[in-house]
Amino acid sequence: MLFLREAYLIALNSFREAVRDKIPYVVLLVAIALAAFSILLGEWSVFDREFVVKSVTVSIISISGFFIAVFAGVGQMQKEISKKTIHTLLAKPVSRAAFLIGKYIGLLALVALHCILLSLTLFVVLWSIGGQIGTSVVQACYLVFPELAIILAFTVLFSTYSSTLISSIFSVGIYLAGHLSDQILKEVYFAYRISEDGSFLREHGKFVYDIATGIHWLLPGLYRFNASTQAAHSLTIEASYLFWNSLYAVGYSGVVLAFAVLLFRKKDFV
Amino acid sequence: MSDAIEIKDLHKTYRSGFWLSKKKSLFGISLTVQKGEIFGFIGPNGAGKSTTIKILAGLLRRDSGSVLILGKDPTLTESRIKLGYLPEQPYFYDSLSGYELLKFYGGLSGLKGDLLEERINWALQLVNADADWIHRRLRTYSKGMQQRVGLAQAILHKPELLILDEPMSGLDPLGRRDVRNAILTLHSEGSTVFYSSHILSDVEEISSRVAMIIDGKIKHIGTVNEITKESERNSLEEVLAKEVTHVVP
Repeated sequence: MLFLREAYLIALNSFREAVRDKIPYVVLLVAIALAAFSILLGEWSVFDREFVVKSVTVSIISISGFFIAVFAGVGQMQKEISKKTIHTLLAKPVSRAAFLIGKYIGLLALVALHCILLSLTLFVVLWSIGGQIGTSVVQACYLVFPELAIILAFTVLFSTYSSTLISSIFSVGIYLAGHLSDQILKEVYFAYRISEDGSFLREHGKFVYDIATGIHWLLPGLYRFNASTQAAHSLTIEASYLFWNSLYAVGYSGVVLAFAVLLFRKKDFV
Repeated sequence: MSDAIEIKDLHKTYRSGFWLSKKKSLFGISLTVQKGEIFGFIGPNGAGKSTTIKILAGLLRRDSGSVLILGKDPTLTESRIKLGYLPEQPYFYDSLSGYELLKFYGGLSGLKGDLLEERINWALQLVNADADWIHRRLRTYSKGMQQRVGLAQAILHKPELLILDEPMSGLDPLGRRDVRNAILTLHSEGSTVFYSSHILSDVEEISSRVAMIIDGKIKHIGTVNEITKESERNSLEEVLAKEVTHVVP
Protein backbone atom coordinates (compact mmCIF):
# COMPACT_ATOMS: atom_id res chain seq x y z
CA MET A 1 0.00 0.00 0.00
CA LEU A 2 2.82 2.35 0.92
CA PHE A 3 4.53 1.64 -2.41
CA LEU A 4 1.33 2.53 -4.29
CA ARG A 5 0.92 5.79 -2.36
CA GLU A 6 4.54 6.79 -3.04
CA ALA A 7 4.22 5.93 -6.75
CA TYR A 8 0.87 7.77 -6.96
CA LEU A 9 2.30 10.97 -5.44
CA ILE A 10 5.34 10.87 -7.72
CA ALA A 11 3.14 10.17 -10.76
CA LEU A 12 0.92 13.13 -9.89
CA ASN A 13 3.91 15.42 -9.50
CA SER A 14 5.50 14.12 -12.69
CA PHE A 15 2.29 14.74 -14.68
CA ARG A 16 1.89 18.23 -13.19
CA GLU A 17 5.48 19.08 -14.05
CA ALA A 18 5.04 17.74 -17.60
CA VAL A 19 1.88 19.72 -18.36
CA ARG A 20 3.57 22.90 -17.11
CA ASP A 21 6.39 22.39 -19.60
CA LYS A 22 6.24 24.04 -23.06
CA ILE A 23 7.40 21.11 -25.20
CA PRO A 24 4.19 18.98 -25.07
CA TYR A 25 2.16 22.00 -26.22
CA VAL A 26 4.51 22.71 -29.12
CA VAL A 27 4.35 19.07 -30.28
CA LEU A 28 0.55 19.00 -29.82
CA LEU A 29 0.03 22.20 -31.83
CA VAL A 30 2.30 21.02 -34.65
CA ALA A 31 0.45 17.66 -34.70
CA ILE A 32 -2.98 19.37 -34.81
CA ALA A 33 -1.74 21.62 -37.63
CA LEU A 34 -0.50 18.57 -39.55
CA ALA A 35 -3.81 16.76 -38.98
CA ALA A 36 -5.64 19.76 -40.43
CA PHE A 37 -3.13 19.83 -43.28
CA SER A 38 -4.06 16.22 -44.12
CA ILE A 39 -7.34 17.62 -45.57
CA LEU A 40 -5.27 19.49 -48.16
CA LEU A 41 -3.15 16.40 -48.78
CA GLY A 42 -6.39 14.51 -49.44
CA GLU A 43 -7.36 17.10 -52.04
CA TRP A 44 -4.03 16.82 -53.84
CA SER A 45 -3.74 13.04 -53.59
CA VAL A 46 -4.99 10.56 -56.19
CA PHE A 47 -6.56 8.63 -53.29
CA ASP A 48 -9.87 9.30 -51.62
CA ARG A 49 -9.71 12.31 -49.23
CA GLU A 50 -11.09 10.36 -46.27
CA PHE A 51 -8.55 7.57 -46.89
CA VAL A 52 -5.65 10.06 -46.78
CA VAL A 53 -6.94 11.89 -43.70
CA LYS A 54 -7.32 8.63 -41.73
CA SER A 55 -3.97 7.07 -42.61
CA VAL A 56 -1.95 10.30 -42.30
CA THR A 57 -3.51 11.42 -39.01
CA VAL A 58 -3.15 8.03 -37.29
CA SER A 59 0.55 8.09 -38.26
CA ILE A 60 0.81 11.65 -36.94
CA ILE A 61 -0.64 10.54 -33.59
CA SER A 62 2.00 7.81 -33.38
CA ILE A 63 4.99 9.97 -34.41
CA SER A 64 4.06 13.03 -32.34
CA GLY A 65 3.31 10.75 -29.38
CA PHE A 66 6.77 9.28 -29.83
CA PHE A 67 8.30 12.76 -29.64
CA ILE A 68 6.27 13.55 -26.52
CA ALA A 69 7.38 10.29 -24.88
CA VAL A 70 11.05 10.89 -25.69
CA PHE A 71 11.22 14.62 -24.94
CA ALA A 72 9.15 14.47 -21.76
CA GLY A 73 10.54 11.10 -20.61
CA VAL A 74 14.23 11.72 -21.20
CA GLY A 75 13.91 15.42 -20.32
CA GLN A 76 12.26 14.86 -16.96
CA MET A 77 14.51 11.99 -15.91
CA GLN A 78 17.66 13.87 -16.89
CA LYS A 79 16.46 17.01 -15.11
CA GLU A 80 15.90 15.00 -11.91
CA ILE A 81 19.46 13.66 -12.06
CA SER A 82 21.42 16.64 -13.40
CA LYS A 83 19.57 19.28 -11.35
CA LYS A 84 19.72 16.94 -8.34
CA THR A 85 16.03 17.27 -7.42
CA ILE A 86 16.21 13.50 -7.01
CA HIS A 87 18.52 13.92 -3.99
CA THR A 88 15.79 15.44 -1.84
CA LEU A 89 13.21 13.00 -3.14
CA LEU A 90 15.16 9.79 -2.57
CA ALA A 91 16.11 10.90 0.94
CA LYS A 92 12.39 10.57 1.77
CA PRO A 93 11.04 7.13 2.67
CA VAL A 94 10.57 6.40 -1.05
CA SER A 95 11.95 3.30 -2.73
CA ARG A 96 13.84 3.74 -5.98
CA ALA A 97 11.36 1.36 -7.65
CA ALA A 98 8.42 3.57 -6.56
CA PHE A 99 10.25 6.60 -7.96
CA LEU A 100 10.73 5.01 -11.40
CA ILE A 101 7.24 3.51 -11.59
CA GLY A 102 5.68 6.79 -10.43
CA LYS A 103 7.64 8.76 -13.04
CA TYR A 104 6.57 6.28 -15.71
CA ILE A 105 2.89 6.45 -14.79
CA GLY A 106 2.91 10.27 -14.66
CA LEU A 107 4.50 10.48 -18.09
CA LEU A 108 2.17 7.78 -19.43
CA ALA A 109 -0.77 9.95 -18.35
CA LEU A 110 0.70 12.80 -20.42
CA VAL A 111 1.05 10.47 -23.43
CA ALA A 112 -2.55 9.27 -22.95
CA LEU A 113 -3.79 12.87 -22.83
CA HIS A 114 -1.89 13.61 -26.04
CA CYS A 115 -3.42 10.56 -27.77
CA ILE A 116 -6.93 11.52 -26.65
CA LEU A 117 -6.59 15.14 -27.82
CA LEU A 118 -5.22 14.14 -31.23
CA SER A 119 -7.83 11.39 -31.66
CA LEU A 120 -10.51 14.01 -31.00
CA THR A 121 -8.79 16.23 -33.58
CA LEU A 122 -8.99 13.38 -36.11
CA PHE A 123 -12.69 12.90 -35.36
CA VAL A 124 -13.33 16.63 -35.85
CA VAL A 125 -11.36 16.65 -39.13
CA LEU A 126 -13.27 13.58 -40.37
CA TRP A 127 -16.60 15.12 -39.35
CA SER A 128 -15.71 18.38 -41.11
CA ILE A 129 -15.12 16.57 -44.43
CA GLY A 130 -18.21 14.39 -43.98
CA GLY A 131 -16.14 11.23 -43.37
CA GLN A 132 -17.06 8.23 -41.24
CA ILE A 133 -15.78 7.86 -37.69
CA GLY A 134 -16.01 4.07 -37.64
CA THR A 135 -14.83 1.47 -35.14
CA SER A 136 -11.64 0.91 -37.14
CA VAL A 137 -10.55 4.54 -36.65
CA VAL A 138 -11.14 4.37 -32.89
CA GLN A 139 -9.24 1.05 -32.74
CA ALA A 140 -6.30 2.46 -34.71
CA CYS A 141 -6.14 5.50 -32.41
CA TYR A 142 -6.29 3.23 -29.36
CA LEU A 143 -3.44 1.01 -30.58
CA VAL A 144 -1.03 3.96 -30.63
CA PHE A 145 -1.23 4.12 -26.83
CA PRO A 146 0.22 0.65 -26.00
CA GLU A 147 2.94 1.31 -28.60
CA LEU A 148 3.91 4.54 -26.83
CA ALA A 149 3.75 2.81 -23.45
CA ILE A 150 6.57 0.51 -24.60
CA ILE A 151 8.60 3.42 -26.03
CA LEU A 152 8.18 5.35 -22.78
CA ALA A 153 9.45 2.38 -20.76
CA PHE A 154 12.58 2.36 -22.93
CA THR A 155 13.13 6.12 -22.51
CA VAL A 156 12.93 5.67 -18.73
CA LEU A 157 15.40 2.78 -18.92
CA PHE A 158 17.88 4.63 -21.14
CA SER A 159 17.72 7.90 -19.22
CA THR A 160 18.53 6.24 -15.90
CA TYR A 161 22.05 5.61 -17.19
CA SER A 162 22.73 7.72 -20.29
CA SER A 163 22.88 11.37 -21.24
CA THR A 164 19.95 13.17 -22.89
CA LEU A 165 21.45 12.81 -26.37
CA ILE A 166 22.35 9.12 -26.08
CA SER A 167 18.96 8.28 -24.51
CA SER A 168 17.14 10.08 -27.33
CA ILE A 169 19.23 8.34 -30.02
CA PHE A 170 18.62 4.93 -28.42
CA SER A 171 14.89 5.65 -28.20
CA VAL A 172 14.75 6.58 -31.91
CA GLY A 173 16.67 3.35 -32.66
CA ILE A 174 14.18 1.25 -30.70
CA TYR A 175 11.23 2.97 -32.43
CA LEU A 176 12.65 2.29 -35.90
CA ALA A 177 13.83 -1.25 -35.09
CA GLY A 178 10.50 -2.10 -33.45
CA HIS A 179 8.59 -0.99 -36.55
CA LEU A 180 10.94 -2.64 -39.04
CA SER A 181 11.87 -5.90 -37.30
CA ASP A 182 8.98 -7.88 -38.82
CA GLN A 183 9.77 -6.61 -42.31
CA ILE A 184 13.48 -7.39 -41.92
CA LEU A 185 12.70 -10.95 -40.80
CA LYS A 186 10.49 -11.46 -43.84
CA GLU A 187 13.25 -10.13 -46.12
CA VAL A 188 15.83 -12.49 -44.57
CA TYR A 189 13.50 -15.46 -45.05
CA PHE A 190 12.73 -14.40 -48.61
CA ALA A 191 16.45 -14.06 -49.44
CA TYR A 192 17.09 -17.53 -47.97
CA ARG A 193 14.28 -19.06 -50.03
CA ILE A 194 15.41 -17.64 -53.35
CA SER A 195 19.13 -18.27 -52.74
CA GLU A 196 20.85 -20.66 -55.14
CA ASP A 197 22.20 -24.06 -54.11
CA GLY A 198 25.83 -23.85 -52.99
CA SER A 199 25.66 -20.10 -52.30
CA PHE A 200 26.72 -18.71 -48.92
CA LEU A 201 23.12 -17.82 -48.04
CA ARG A 202 21.87 -21.33 -48.84
CA GLU A 203 24.72 -22.88 -46.76
CA HIS A 204 24.35 -20.59 -43.75
CA GLY A 205 20.87 -19.22 -44.38
CA LYS A 206 19.23 -21.21 -41.58
CA PHE A 207 21.71 -19.87 -39.05
CA VAL A 208 21.22 -16.28 -40.25
CA TYR A 209 17.44 -16.75 -40.15
CA ASP A 210 17.63 -18.13 -36.58
CA ILE A 211 19.65 -15.09 -35.46
CA ALA A 212 17.22 -12.73 -37.21
CA THR A 213 14.31 -14.54 -35.50
CA GLY A 214 16.01 -14.15 -32.09
CA ILE A 215 16.53 -10.43 -32.62
CA HIS A 216 12.97 -10.12 -33.90
CA TRP A 217 11.58 -11.66 -30.69
CA LEU A 218 13.86 -9.58 -28.49
CA LEU A 219 12.92 -6.23 -30.06
CA PRO A 220 9.55 -4.71 -29.22
CA GLY A 221 7.03 -5.62 -31.92
CA LEU A 222 5.83 -2.07 -32.51
CA TYR A 223 4.59 -3.01 -36.01
CA ARG A 224 1.72 -4.82 -34.23
CA PHE A 225 0.28 -1.48 -33.18
CA ASN A 226 0.24 0.17 -36.59
CA ALA A 227 -3.36 -0.03 -37.76
CA SER A 228 -3.45 3.05 -39.99
CA THR A 229 -4.10 0.89 -43.09
CA GLN A 230 -7.05 -0.84 -41.40
CA ALA A 231 -8.42 2.56 -40.37
CA ALA A 232 -8.01 3.95 -43.90
CA HIS A 233 -9.86 0.96 -45.40
CA SER A 234 -12.45 0.90 -42.57
CA LEU A 235 -11.47 -2.67 -41.63
CA THR A 236 -12.51 -3.56 -38.09
CA ILE A 237 -9.83 -5.29 -35.99
CA GLU A 238 -10.81 -8.36 -33.94
CA ALA A 239 -11.25 -7.73 -30.21
CA SER A 240 -8.89 -10.62 -29.38
CA TYR A 241 -6.10 -8.91 -31.40
CA LEU A 242 -6.57 -5.73 -29.38
CA PHE A 243 -6.63 -7.68 -26.11
CA TRP A 244 -3.52 -9.82 -26.71
CA ASN A 245 -1.48 -6.96 -28.06
CA SER A 246 -2.48 -4.72 -25.16
CA LEU A 247 -1.36 -7.52 -22.85
CA TYR A 248 1.88 -7.81 -24.84
CA ALA A 249 2.51 -4.07 -24.30
CA VAL A 250 1.85 -4.37 -20.55
CA GLY A 251 4.20 -7.37 -20.27
CA TYR A 252 6.95 -5.87 -22.43
CA SER A 253 6.85 -2.50 -20.64
CA GLY A 254 6.87 -4.35 -17.31
CA VAL A 255 10.02 -6.27 -18.21
CA VAL A 256 11.79 -3.12 -19.46
CA LEU A 257 10.82 -1.22 -16.29
CA ALA A 258 11.91 -4.12 -14.08
CA PHE A 259 15.31 -3.98 -15.80
CA ALA A 260 15.41 -0.19 -15.27
CA VAL A 261 14.64 -0.67 -11.55
CA LEU A 262 17.43 -3.26 -11.23
CA LEU A 263 19.99 -0.85 -12.72
CA PHE A 264 18.63 2.14 -10.81
CA ARG A 265 18.88 0.40 -7.42
CA LYS A 266 22.67 0.34 -7.65
CA LYS A 267 23.09 3.86 -8.99
CA ASP A 268 25.12 6.42 -7.04
CA PHE A 269 23.81 9.99 -6.96
CA VAL A 270 26.91 12.14 -6.69
CA MET B 1 18.99 2.40 22.94
CA SER B 2 20.74 2.74 19.56
CA ASP B 3 22.77 5.78 18.55
CA ALA B 4 21.40 8.25 16.02
CA ILE B 5 24.31 7.62 13.65
CA GLU B 6 26.90 4.86 13.81
CA ILE B 7 29.65 4.72 11.18
CA LYS B 8 32.38 2.09 11.35
CA ASP B 9 35.37 1.80 9.01
CA LEU B 10 33.54 3.39 6.08
CA HIS B 11 35.25 3.32 2.67
CA LYS B 12 34.04 4.88 -0.55
CA THR B 13 35.60 5.00 -4.01
CA TYR B 14 34.23 6.91 -7.00
CA ARG B 15 34.63 5.71 -10.55
CA SER B 16 34.56 8.29 -13.29
CA GLY B 17 35.54 8.98 -16.88
CA PHE B 18 35.55 6.68 -19.89
CA TRP B 19 37.98 4.22 -18.28
CA LEU B 20 36.12 4.32 -14.95
CA SER B 21 39.26 5.38 -13.15
CA LYS B 22 39.07 5.08 -9.37
CA LYS B 23 39.31 7.92 -6.88
CA LYS B 24 39.07 7.04 -3.23
CA SER B 25 37.10 9.52 -1.17
CA LEU B 26 36.73 7.92 2.27
CA PHE B 27 39.47 5.93 4.00
CA GLY B 28 37.80 3.96 6.79
CA ILE B 29 36.08 6.70 8.78
CA SER B 30 34.33 5.88 12.05
CA LEU B 31 32.13 8.09 14.19
CA THR B 32 29.10 7.89 16.43
CA VAL B 33 26.43 10.53 16.97
CA GLN B 34 24.35 10.07 20.08
CA LYS B 35 20.65 10.89 20.20
CA GLY B 36 20.00 14.50 21.23
CA GLU B 37 23.31 15.90 19.93
CA ILE B 38 23.95 18.77 17.54
CA PHE B 39 26.92 17.34 15.72
CA GLY B 40 29.05 19.52 13.43
CA PHE B 41 30.95 17.92 10.57
CA ILE B 42 33.72 20.15 9.27
CA GLY B 43 36.60 19.99 6.84
CA PRO B 44 37.95 21.66 3.69
CA ASN B 45 36.34 21.25 0.24
CA GLY B 46 36.74 17.73 -1.13
CA ALA B 47 37.51 16.24 2.28
CA GLY B 48 34.59 13.77 2.14
CA LYS B 49 31.84 15.57 4.08
CA SER B 50 29.20 15.44 1.36
CA THR B 51 30.16 11.86 0.43
CA THR B 52 29.59 10.75 4.04
CA ILE B 53 26.31 12.65 4.21
CA LYS B 54 25.07 11.18 0.92
CA ILE B 55 25.85 7.68 2.17
CA LEU B 56 23.81 8.45 5.30
CA ALA B 57 20.92 9.69 3.14
CA GLY B 58 21.00 6.53 1.01
CA LEU B 59 22.08 8.36 -2.16
CA LEU B 60 25.50 6.71 -2.43
CA ARG B 61 26.42 3.07 -1.88
CA ARG B 62 29.45 2.37 0.32
CA ASP B 63 32.36 0.11 -0.69
CA SER B 64 32.73 -1.40 2.77
CA GLY B 65 32.20 -0.68 6.46
CA SER B 66 28.97 -0.41 8.38
CA VAL B 67 26.57 2.53 8.60
CA LEU B 68 23.46 2.73 10.74
CA ILE B 69 21.04 5.63 11.10
CA LEU B 70 18.61 5.25 13.99
CA GLY B 71 19.64 1.59 14.06
CA LYS B 72 18.87 0.89 10.40
CA ASP B 73 20.93 0.50 7.24
CA PRO B 74 20.51 3.70 5.14
CA THR B 75 20.02 1.66 1.95
CA LEU B 76 16.66 0.51 3.37
CA THR B 77 13.65 2.70 2.62
CA GLU B 78 12.33 2.43 6.20
CA SER B 79 15.55 3.96 7.56
CA ARG B 80 14.41 7.30 6.14
CA ILE B 81 10.99 7.45 7.83
CA LYS B 82 12.37 9.48 10.75
CA LEU B 83 15.08 11.23 8.74
CA GLY B 84 15.05 14.82 7.52
CA TYR B 85 17.62 15.75 4.88
CA LEU B 86 18.69 19.00 3.29
CA PRO B 87 21.21 18.59 0.44
CA GLU B 88 23.97 21.08 -0.32
CA GLN B 89 22.64 23.76 -2.68
CA PRO B 90 19.17 22.21 -2.90
CA TYR B 91 17.35 22.28 -6.25
CA PHE B 92 13.62 21.89 -6.52
CA TYR B 93 10.99 21.52 -9.23
CA ASP B 94 10.92 25.10 -10.46
CA SER B 95 7.49 24.77 -12.08
CA LEU B 96 5.93 24.19 -8.65
CA SER B 97 5.13 26.78 -6.01
CA GLY B 98 6.76 26.51 -2.59
CA TYR B 99 3.43 25.39 -1.14
CA GLU B 100 2.94 22.66 -3.77
CA LEU B 101 6.47 21.45 -3.15
CA LEU B 102 5.95 21.20 0.61
CA LYS B 103 2.64 19.40 0.07
CA PHE B 104 4.36 16.91 -2.24
CA TYR B 105 7.27 16.21 0.11
CA GLY B 106 4.97 16.13 3.14
CA GLY B 107 2.87 13.50 1.39
CA LEU B 108 5.96 11.41 0.70
CA SER B 109 6.84 11.67 4.39
CA GLY B 110 3.46 10.15 5.26
CA LEU B 111 1.58 13.33 6.18
CA LYS B 112 -1.87 14.16 4.81
CA GLY B 113 -4.99 16.24 5.35
CA ASP B 114 -5.18 18.76 8.17
CA LEU B 115 -1.99 17.50 9.80
CA LEU B 116 -0.05 18.24 6.59
CA GLU B 117 -1.50 21.77 6.39
CA GLU B 118 -0.70 22.33 10.05
CA ARG B 119 2.89 21.12 9.62
CA ILE B 120 3.45 23.27 6.52
CA ASN B 121 2.42 26.36 8.49
CA TRP B 122 4.55 25.28 11.46
CA ALA B 123 7.65 24.64 9.31
CA LEU B 124 7.29 27.93 7.41
CA GLN B 125 7.02 29.80 10.68
CA LEU B 126 10.07 28.03 12.06
CA VAL B 127 12.27 28.94 9.08
CA ASN B 128 10.88 32.49 9.19
CA ALA B 129 9.37 32.33 5.70
CA ASP B 130 6.95 34.99 4.40
CA ALA B 131 3.49 33.59 3.79
CA ASP B 132 3.02 35.76 0.68
CA TRP B 133 5.77 34.17 -1.46
CA ILE B 134 4.92 30.59 -0.67
CA HIS B 135 2.39 30.46 -3.53
CA ARG B 136 4.87 31.80 -6.09
CA ARG B 137 6.75 29.47 -8.47
CA LEU B 138 10.10 28.27 -7.12
CA ARG B 139 11.96 29.59 -10.17
CA THR B 140 11.36 33.11 -8.83
CA TYR B 141 12.96 32.35 -5.43
CA SER B 142 16.22 33.83 -4.21
CA LYS B 143 18.93 31.61 -2.72
CA GLY B 144 17.76 32.45 0.81
CA MET B 145 14.14 31.60 0.03
CA GLN B 146 15.14 28.31 -1.59
CA GLN B 147 17.22 27.40 1.45
CA ARG B 148 14.29 28.16 3.75
CA VAL B 149 11.92 26.00 1.71
CA GLY B 150 14.63 23.33 1.64
CA LEU B 151 14.86 23.33 5.42
CA ALA B 152 11.06 23.40 5.73
CA GLN B 153 10.69 20.24 3.58
CA ALA B 154 13.30 18.48 5.73
CA ILE B 155 11.50 19.18 9.02
CA LEU B 156 7.83 18.82 7.99
CA HIS B 157 7.44 15.40 9.61
CA LYS B 158 9.36 16.41 12.77
CA PRO B 159 12.21 13.96 12.12
CA GLU B 160 14.16 12.28 14.90
CA LEU B 161 17.36 12.82 12.94
CA LEU B 162 18.09 15.85 10.80
CA ILE B 163 21.02 15.72 8.36
CA LEU B 164 21.93 19.05 6.81
CA ASP B 165 24.64 19.52 4.20
CA GLU B 166 25.95 23.09 4.35
CA PRO B 167 22.63 24.57 5.52
CA MET B 168 24.08 28.06 5.88
CA SER B 169 26.05 28.31 2.65
CA GLY B 170 25.24 31.31 0.47
CA LEU B 171 22.97 32.90 3.05
CA ASP B 172 23.14 36.48 4.26
CA PRO B 173 23.66 37.08 8.02
CA LEU B 174 19.91 37.19 8.69
CA GLY B 175 19.35 33.97 6.76
CA ARG B 176 22.15 32.30 8.71
CA ARG B 177 20.63 33.47 11.97
CA ASP B 178 17.21 32.06 10.98
CA VAL B 179 18.68 28.67 10.02
CA ARG B 180 20.74 28.57 13.22
CA ASN B 181 17.66 29.38 15.29
CA ALA B 182 15.63 26.73 13.48
CA ILE B 183 18.32 24.12 14.24
CA LEU B 184 18.32 25.10 17.91
CA THR B 185 14.51 24.99 18.13
CA LEU B 186 14.37 21.55 16.51
CA HIS B 187 17.07 20.32 18.85
CA SER B 188 15.15 21.63 21.86
CA GLU B 189 12.09 19.70 20.59
CA GLY B 190 14.09 16.45 20.63
CA SER B 191 15.69 16.12 17.17
CA THR B 192 19.29 15.03 16.72
CA VAL B 193 21.08 17.27 14.23
CA PHE B 194 24.07 16.24 12.10
CA TYR B 195 25.28 19.01 9.81
CA SER B 196 28.28 20.07 7.78
CA SER B 197 29.41 23.66 7.53
CA HIS B 198 32.25 25.92 6.47
CA ILE B 199 31.09 28.63 8.84
CA LEU B 200 33.16 27.61 11.83
CA SER B 201 31.97 30.38 14.15
CA ASP B 202 28.44 28.94 13.90
CA VAL B 203 29.78 25.42 14.45
CA GLU B 204 31.59 26.54 17.61
CA GLU B 205 28.46 28.27 18.84
CA ILE B 206 25.82 25.56 18.45
CA SER B 207 27.51 22.14 18.27
CA SER B 208 27.63 19.72 21.19
CA ARG B 209 30.40 17.80 19.40
CA VAL B 210 32.38 18.18 16.20
CA ALA B 211 34.24 15.87 13.81
CA MET B 212 36.93 17.19 11.50
CA ILE B 213 37.54 15.26 8.28
CA ILE B 214 40.59 15.85 6.10
CA ASP B 215 41.33 13.90 2.92
CA GLY B 216 38.79 11.21 3.73
CA LYS B 217 40.04 10.56 7.27
CA ILE B 218 38.66 11.76 10.60
CA LYS B 219 41.39 13.88 12.21
CA HIS B 220 39.57 15.09 15.31
CA ILE B 221 36.38 14.26 17.12
CA GLY B 222 35.03 15.70 20.36
CA THR B 223 33.69 18.92 21.85
CA VAL B 224 35.06 22.22 20.52
CA ASN B 225 37.07 22.63 23.75
CA GLU B 226 38.55 19.14 23.50
CA ILE B 227 39.62 19.63 19.88
CA THR B 228 41.17 23.07 20.37
CA LYS B 229 42.92 21.94 23.55
CA GLU B 230 44.27 18.78 21.92
CA SER B 231 45.66 20.83 19.02
CA GLU B 232 46.87 23.66 21.22
CA ARG B 233 44.93 26.21 19.18
CA ASN B 234 42.31 28.84 20.09
CA SER B 235 39.60 28.08 17.55
CA LEU B 236 38.40 25.45 15.08
CA GLU B 237 39.57 27.68 12.25
CA GLU B 238 43.12 27.57 13.60
CA VAL B 239 42.94 23.80 14.06
CA LEU B 240 41.70 23.37 10.50
CA ALA B 241 44.40 25.69 9.12
CA LYS B 242 47.06 23.70 10.98
CA GLU B 243 45.74 20.36 9.67
CA VAL B 244 45.41 21.56 6.08
CA THR B 245 48.94 23.02 6.16
CA HIS B 246 50.17 19.62 7.26
CA VAL B 247 48.41 17.89 4.41
CA VAL B 248 49.38 20.26 1.58
CA PRO B 249 53.01 19.59 0.54
